[in-house]
Amino acid sequence: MLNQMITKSVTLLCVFTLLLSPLHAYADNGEATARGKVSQLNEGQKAPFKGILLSPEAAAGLFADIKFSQKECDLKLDRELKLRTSVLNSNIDALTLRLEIEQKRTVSLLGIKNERIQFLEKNWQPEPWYQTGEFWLGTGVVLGIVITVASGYAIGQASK
Amino acid sequence: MVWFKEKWKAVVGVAAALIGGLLVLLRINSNARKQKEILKKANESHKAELDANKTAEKKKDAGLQKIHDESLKEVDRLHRTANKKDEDLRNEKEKFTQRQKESDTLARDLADEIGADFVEPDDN
Repeated sequence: MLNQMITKSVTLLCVFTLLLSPLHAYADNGEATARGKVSQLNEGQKAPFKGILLSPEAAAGLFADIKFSQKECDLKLDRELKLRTSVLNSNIDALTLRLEIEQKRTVSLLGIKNERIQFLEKNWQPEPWYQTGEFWLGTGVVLGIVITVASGYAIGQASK
Repeated sequence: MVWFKEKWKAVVGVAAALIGGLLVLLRINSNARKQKEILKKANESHKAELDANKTAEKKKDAGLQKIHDESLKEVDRLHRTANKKDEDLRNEKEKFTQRQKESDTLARDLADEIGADFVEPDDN
């Protein structure tokens, strides 16, 4: 019975300890570790913490890489952007030119075909018979003959 | 005149036949002329269409060639400009590296850059 009481008490104590313990304190320690440390050593000096030692050349190269990476990236982006823009503008120009030429060609062909259709429509219908040249020629010839015959007859009658 | 009075029907008949034949010939000739005119117009129309197509193709080829040439020039110019900028940046970076290599504050600057704490070394 006493053992059970002790066990329960210890359990409760552990639970409360876990719940109420200042977790943020550990987090602070973690953050401090994550920030890292940098030191500058001369030959023979004692290192103040465990870490990686870089030569001045390597450190300067690393520093320059960090410092210039944004500018290098911007330059690459700028180059690609301008190249893509140039190529796409060229494509747009080519397509615009094609469109303009095709529009002009279509208008021109439609004009030619319309003119031809109008000509064919005009020539498809037969000319009215009274407007034909043959009718008027025939009429003229017949009238000429009739007038000649009538004149001859009249002259003959008059001479009698 | 007597002969004409006797044969006037035949004369009128022959004259009518001659006039009729002449009119038929004229009609055939007229139709042929009209068909010739239609064919001529069709030929002219086809020629005009071919000319329009040829002109359009020529303009298109010339225009596309010009755009292509200009595009090549522009791309070349962009490459040259970008290469120059790359070269300048490389030189600048090289000079910066050289400066930093000899700098006494390299470690402090590096720490500031990467957001780390600078720790003074232990002199012992």
